[in-house]
Amino acid sequence: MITFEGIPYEAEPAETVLDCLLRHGLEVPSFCRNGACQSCLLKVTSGAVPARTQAGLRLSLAQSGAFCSCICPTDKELTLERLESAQSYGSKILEVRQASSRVAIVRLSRPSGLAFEAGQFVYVRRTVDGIERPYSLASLPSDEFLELHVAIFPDGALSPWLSREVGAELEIRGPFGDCTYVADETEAPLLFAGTGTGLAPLVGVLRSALARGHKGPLYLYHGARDSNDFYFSSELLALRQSQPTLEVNELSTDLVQHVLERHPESKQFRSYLCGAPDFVQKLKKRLYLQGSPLARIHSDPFFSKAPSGVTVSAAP
Amino acid sequence: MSTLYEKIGGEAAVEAAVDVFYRKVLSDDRISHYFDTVDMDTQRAKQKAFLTYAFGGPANYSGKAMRAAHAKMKLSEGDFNAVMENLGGTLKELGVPDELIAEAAAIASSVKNDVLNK
Repeated sequence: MITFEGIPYEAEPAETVLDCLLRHGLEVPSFCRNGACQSCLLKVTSGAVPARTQAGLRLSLAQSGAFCSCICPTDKELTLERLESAQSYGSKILEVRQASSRVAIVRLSRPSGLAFEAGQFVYVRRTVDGIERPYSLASLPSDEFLELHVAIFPDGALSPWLSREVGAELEIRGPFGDCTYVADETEAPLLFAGTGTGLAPLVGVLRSALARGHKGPLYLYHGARDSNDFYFSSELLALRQSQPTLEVNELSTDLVQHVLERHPESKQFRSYLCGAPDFVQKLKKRLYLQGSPLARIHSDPFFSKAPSGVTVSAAP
Repeated sequence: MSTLYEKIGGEAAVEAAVDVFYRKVLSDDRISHYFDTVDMDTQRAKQKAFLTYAFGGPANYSGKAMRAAHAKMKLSEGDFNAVMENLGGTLKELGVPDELIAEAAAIASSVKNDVLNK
């Protein structure tokens, strides 16, 4: 017996989860039917799936319960959801600080039930009209607030409101994403490269690394159009002064080229890339071609596979 | 009698081959532009499924799915040959004997008409 999105379905003997759901008329994408292509991923919320259904998945995906439904048997009780489903939580705007002409640091109340890791993102939803946008979490789970870096688009649907209405109520849905600190390799060099408010998840992961005593070198690159856009300079400077292993670079030149010239050997790195989609795609490809495994390159998926079909261009 | 998949080395061989192959494809100026906007993690998983199939392994590759996946790309004979070359180069680099490479190439070639939408 499997339960999918709250509804129980009877399985036939030797049937896979995917086949069972398809037979009941549900739409689940699939391709190779062999546990390789990851088209058919679902999320298990209760029950245990065999380890082989999670082989080859990113650690963060596997930890969130993702598995290949096409090779998963139905002989045990399983409660399942789609990958992009997540709970909603009530929150409100606590504090807004204008960090530059285009960016505000916004603090939201931290919903007690929300379990997340710094660097993941959530959808912020305005309750009155349901408009939502993704924002990365730059604060630690141990903080009493959630910190967002909000790029203010004067004609934007949400950002002018979010960077102004202290006290306003909103909803948070998430968390998503795999820009998170990996705890079991404290010696690895970490590369953080981001443009604009793509810095937010990098700051989240960096804070997490520092809180857990990361020993390897930390290289942070923040790219922006001009010096007025380096909205987090003083905070980064303070971090650097307290942390000799941290190197901070703020650049308004070609960030991809700069990073590659500085780090021609990046195989051992764990890299976090966020910000403008073309920047992320380009640097990710170059690091991969230099020999870095894709599983060691973390980037936000806003532009390629935003949950629930929400299309978003280049939000932080 | 062992199968081609077993002779090549099974899942471990596919895992060893997929990054060599995908890097070759991404570095190949003839075809790399097709991959500029696709999600690399998703694409790597697809390449792995393709190699499993070409190695005679358990991959359920239906002609219909291959056709649907490539229909809008308007690929040419040259594009297909470039991929085949990269497949051959990958296997050679990994020390697979020529006769097994030929077997894998024959399997991969069987999807040609579906990929080229013919």
